[in-house]
Parts: sequence; C-alpha cells; structure tokens
Amino acid sequence: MKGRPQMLDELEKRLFSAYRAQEDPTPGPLWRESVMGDLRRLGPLAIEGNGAAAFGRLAWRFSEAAVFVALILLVYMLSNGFVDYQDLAMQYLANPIDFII
Amino acid sequence: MGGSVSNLSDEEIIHRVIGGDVDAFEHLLERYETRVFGIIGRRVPRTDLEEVAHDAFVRAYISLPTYERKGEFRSWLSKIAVRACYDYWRERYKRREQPMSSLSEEQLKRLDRRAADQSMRADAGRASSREARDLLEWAMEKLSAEDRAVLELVYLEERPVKEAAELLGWSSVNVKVRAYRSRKKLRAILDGLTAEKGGTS
Repeated sequence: MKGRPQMLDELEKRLFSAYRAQEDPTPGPLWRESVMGDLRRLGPLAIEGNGAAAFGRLAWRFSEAAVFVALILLVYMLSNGFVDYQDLAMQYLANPIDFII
Repeated sequence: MGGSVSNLSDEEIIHRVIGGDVDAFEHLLERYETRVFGIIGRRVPRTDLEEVAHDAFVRAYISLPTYERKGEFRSWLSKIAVRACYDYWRERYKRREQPMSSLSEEQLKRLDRRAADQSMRADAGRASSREARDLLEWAMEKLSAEDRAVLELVYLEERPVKEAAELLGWSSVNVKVRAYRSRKKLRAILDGLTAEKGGTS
C-alpha cells in the first residue's frame, strides 16, 4: 500500500500532465481585427516614440551641462567657503531685529 | 496586408511600426498570435483568454519603442504575455467577490464528493483530463498570483529557472525559492482537500 506522500506525488503528476496536455487555443476570427482596431485608435507610435526619444536626448544633453555647472559650483564653494543657511536661519529666528548678514 | 511587408524580418517590421505604420503591426500579430495564445491559454480561463491576449498585444505595441534589439522579439513578447497573465491574476485576486473558480457548483460538489472518498487519489488516474485540469485550477486559485506564475513556469511548463526568472523579471534565486514554496503550498492544498474531507465524512 502506498503512503500519503507517494499518493500525493502521483496525484500531482497526473494534474501536471493534464495541464501539459492542453491543446493550444487559437484566436477567434474577429480577434485580430479587434486588436488592430484598438491600435489604430491609439494611433501611430511615431509622435510618442520620437517625442520620448527627443526628450531623452535633450535630458542627456542637459545632464552634461548640469554636471559642468555642479563642478563650477563645487570649485567656487571650496574656494570661498560654505554658507550654512541653517545657522543663518537659526540666528535670524533667535534675534530677528539685530540680524545682519 | 501587403505581401512585401510579410517578407520582412521582425526587426524591419518593428522599424516600420515605430516609424508610424500601425498596419505593419498586423504582421507581428499574425506571426505571434498562436504563440501568445499558447502562453496565455494555459494561464487564464478560456473565457478571458482573448481579452488578456488583446491586452498583451496592445501593451507590446505601446512598448515597442522600448524594445531593445538585443534579444529576440519572440522572447520579448513572451515576457509581455506572461506578465499580462500575472497582472490578470493579481487583478482578479483583488476582486475576490467574484467566484474564483470557473468550476460550476455541480462540479465543485462532485469534486468535494470525490475528495471525501479516500480513494480519490488513486481514482485521479481514472478521472478525465478535464477533471484533473479543473482540480488543478481549483487548487491553484488558492495560491497568490506570484506563486501561481512561478509554479506554472517552473513545474507545470518545466522551464529552466533562468528562463522563468527572465520572463518574470525576478532573480534566479527568488524564482528557485518561490517555486519551491509554491509547490509546497500546492501540495498542502491537495493534501488538505482529501484529509479534511476524508476526516469529516
């Protein structure tokens, strides 16, 4: 007599085989037309695709400029020292009347 | 559809579609609909198959500009189809108020009666393939969408872990762990079905 795990293995095997034995379905006659209808309603990808690509190119071009500006700021800050705005704010809040930058 | 386009490679058709020729996509649809129906047909109920396949192709169309020509279009499309099924189940699990199983009340009763019979497991061999499919479907509906997706790929379709990981967009380790756990859960469900019914009858 088989034990529970063996019987379960057998059941599992049969269920898995049944899954694999399924026939591949085929689309109905109007299905493709309905998909194409939706895609035509969505319109060509060209505008969206090119727009996204153009935005990507623009972003990358700006990224170079952004890095360049960041480097200049870093050099400037290293040579002129940092201004701690939090300290300035604390000073202002502590004594707004006598606050002078 | 023009005969000249149908002779083009996938890459050339994709190039045309991205260039604004929506109708060229129909050639991709024609080439791959059987494959996509094969993937989706095993994963979702037949009543929702066409809708999910429709959704997968619309997604593919919209995502076409992001398709990188590193891999095959076929694999890229399969990934979209698998994920469409995964999303289908996630959405369906959210709407739990719907009866989850496509089994009719009568079928469920019959399965319950079979389960109550201790000889059910041995009897499963004689059960029709349709009934086995229904029973598997019933048990799988008790799993999460993630467990279901990984179980189907790794155990039911016997795909390599690496391929399953690519299709799901998960790491191989995650697929291995999840597949092992989901199979354990499935076995527990199948085991519990007969044990519980057998104990109460």
